[in-house]
Amino acid sequence: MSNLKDNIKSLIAKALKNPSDQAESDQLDQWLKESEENIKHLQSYNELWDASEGIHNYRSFDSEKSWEELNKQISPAKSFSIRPLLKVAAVALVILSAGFLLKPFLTNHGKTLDTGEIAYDAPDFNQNHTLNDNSEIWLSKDSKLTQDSDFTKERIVSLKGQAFFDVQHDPSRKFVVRSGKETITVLGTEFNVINEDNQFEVFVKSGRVEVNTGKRKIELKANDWLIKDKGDYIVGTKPAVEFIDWVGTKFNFDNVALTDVFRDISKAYGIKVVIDPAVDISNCKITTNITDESISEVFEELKLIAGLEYTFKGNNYTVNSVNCK
Amino acid sequence: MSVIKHKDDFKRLFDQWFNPLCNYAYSLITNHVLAKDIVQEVFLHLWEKKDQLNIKSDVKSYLFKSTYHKTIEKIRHKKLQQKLAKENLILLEERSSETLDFDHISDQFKLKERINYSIRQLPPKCQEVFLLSRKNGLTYDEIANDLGISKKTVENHVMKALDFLRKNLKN
Repeated sequence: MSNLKDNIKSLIAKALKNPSDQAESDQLDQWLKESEENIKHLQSYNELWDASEGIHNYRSFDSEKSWEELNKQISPAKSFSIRPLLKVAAVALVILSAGFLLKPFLTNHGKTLDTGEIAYDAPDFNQNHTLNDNSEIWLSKDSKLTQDSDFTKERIVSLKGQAFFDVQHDPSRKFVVRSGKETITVLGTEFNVINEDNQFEVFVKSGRVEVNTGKRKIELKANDWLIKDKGDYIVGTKPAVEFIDWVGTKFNFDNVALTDVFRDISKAYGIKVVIDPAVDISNCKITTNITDESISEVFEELKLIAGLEYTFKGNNYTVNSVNCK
Repeated sequence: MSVIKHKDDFKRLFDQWFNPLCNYAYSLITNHVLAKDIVQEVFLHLWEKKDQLNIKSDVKSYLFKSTYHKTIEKIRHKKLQQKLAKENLILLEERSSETLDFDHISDQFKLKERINYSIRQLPPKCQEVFLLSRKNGLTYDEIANDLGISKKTVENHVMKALDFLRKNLKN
């Protein structure tokens, strides 16, 4: 087949690039009329010609290097898996008898010091701990939290650094955070504390918190933000999103209506979602997990799985269209 | 249903689609480093979400769609100063991603990948002429002039390259 006559080849070559002149065009037509095969032949040239458009820009990217970089990020060794530790412990349990070996397991959440206090830290990355009253704390990297008492009467902890608290409701036992000069008494549930060298801040996400500065008591409610400025305590408000950014958000949407998804993420990220009245999202359902993602990543995610088109200005997101099947 | 159960599956997808995706991203953002970064992010995201993503269409469309969105996001966020990139963004925003057929785009780039691979096996002169011929606006006369060969020879090289591709890309 590739033994086409030279003059035909030349005609085809010309036709690919420019409209040929009338005489040439007639000649080519004549050749095409000769057989079905000729038509197919020309078609395949045309297809390859079109497909190779811009091929001079096509290049080979260094896939080996990229894979290496990618592999580093996805290899399980880096994900701080607790499994290997468990395995070692399990083996040890078989060889030695159980008893005292169980202890390191049970105190896994914190280290018991000689003084009887329990210390929690986050040397490598932000860490989530559950205290023995089931309150949850998120310690930011390099922060330290010490549990002073055994929580029988009062729940007293000391903090150095930054932590987010989700305190288990228990009217019979106050929850108290000591941070140098100030004492924070929890009346409600979730709040953030920063206690560093020259910095003291408390942000309340929900519930109520009382801060005793040593001189006076300040009561904070949801969205209140207390900041110490040159010895003065100022109460203002701050969007929750910054705290959530470091604490990390976790959503597990399993076939959840998009309307509910928007309600939840609006609350968590302190944003407002407006749906274009022309858009009907009532039968959209979503299945995805969101863990430690910024709000822009969350929307990108929704874009991918629900064909969401959106615009945003500051904290206001407008949904212009969705594509749910 | 996740199509990636093991790292091997993932590596296979990577090997198959990395280069076409990089070239696709490049066609949108015209920056090789950014194109590579974008595709790496797309794969990382795919890996992290492999059990969660509810991939409605097949995975190649998903990869191209992800790359498309990430590229636009990148252009928008980095506010690339290059005039070309800005013009690209305008073009991109004109058509909503709804109207883009990522299945078709992925096939296009897979074919480009194979064409590119085949072209590399052509004799150097033939390769050069063919690549120049696919550059917008260059006529056979101009190529002939640039390379100091006859127009006839240019045509021959082009047809030789197309014949070679036809043979190579059968199936």
